[in-house]
Amino acid sequence: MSLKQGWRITAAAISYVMFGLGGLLPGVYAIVLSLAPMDAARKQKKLRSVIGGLCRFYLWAMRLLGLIAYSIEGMPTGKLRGHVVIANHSMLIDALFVLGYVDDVCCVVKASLARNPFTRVPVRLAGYIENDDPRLLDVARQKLSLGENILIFPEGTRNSSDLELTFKRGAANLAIISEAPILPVLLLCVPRALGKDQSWYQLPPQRLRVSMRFLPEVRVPEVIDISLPRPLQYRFLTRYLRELYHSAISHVQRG
Amino acid sequence: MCSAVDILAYPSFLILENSVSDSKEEIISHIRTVMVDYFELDASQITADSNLYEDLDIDSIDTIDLIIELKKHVDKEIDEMALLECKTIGDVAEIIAKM
Repeated sequence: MSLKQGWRITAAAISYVMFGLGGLLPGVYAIVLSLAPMDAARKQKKLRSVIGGLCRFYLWAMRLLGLIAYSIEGMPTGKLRGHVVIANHSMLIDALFVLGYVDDVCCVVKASLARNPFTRVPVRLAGYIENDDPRLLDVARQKLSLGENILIFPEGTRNSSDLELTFKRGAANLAIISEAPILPVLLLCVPRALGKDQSWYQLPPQRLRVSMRFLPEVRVPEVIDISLPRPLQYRFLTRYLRELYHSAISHVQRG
Repeated sequence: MCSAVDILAYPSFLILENSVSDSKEEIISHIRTVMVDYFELDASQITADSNLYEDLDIDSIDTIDLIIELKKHVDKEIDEMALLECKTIGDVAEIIAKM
């Protein structure tokens, strides 16, 4: 193992500890906020803003430690409201990029986080949706109509290769039912690391280069026939999105 | 057009309109037609034993759309909640046949 590789693994360990300790910050802030005399919507906005800032800090720190380099392209200039934000999911830190660089994002989180005594308060105050909520789609639709953005990883879990892209229909269901535009975010890590079945210390010999690209907004009526029965719309839109990512990733990989 | 979410808020019984035979086989045949047309499935995949979720890649939103389509062709009340709990095509046909 080279000295550089040894340092990267050490840097990854430092980052892991930092995530753990930094993760307490939103919890403490949420408890303070919960006592503050302001309405729930304002508390939610403030907490999401702190979570976004913390995610950007993590990324900045990992760059400083020499673990990653990253670039961000095509970030929307105006305020983003009521979008279904989707991203491909190849590595452990994908959500940091989206939460850090997209405003007012609501996530769908594991229900266990909403019951964990350490994360319960921030998850609830941030208005995140629990993944076992039987009204998940309805809640997400309401949030979109209020101008919040909903983050969905259509693959559901980390993929095994960049072009695997097994998309589930949840994002398409939500966009069609809510008549919401979709903001596709492309995340690529070269070489692949922090993926499914990879431990945090299994790092390649070179620094990870992450590219975050905001692709053009997708308006559902412009890409599929919305007069078709809905089950077909869900399937066609899911296929369209998968092909969009496949083509974009192939294009980037060809250089 | 009402959305899948709107349908979730409906009472558990839906009044059905047109008419089909009570025969379970005929009901399965009709379900097969709907699923081929609306869910991009091959007719040969759809048998009484086909599991909606594991074999046919149907999800809960699809099930609601399936109920809406069945509603258009069956002249009976459909227990929406019972259909949402069905695992196989045969289960769906059985519930409709018993009503």
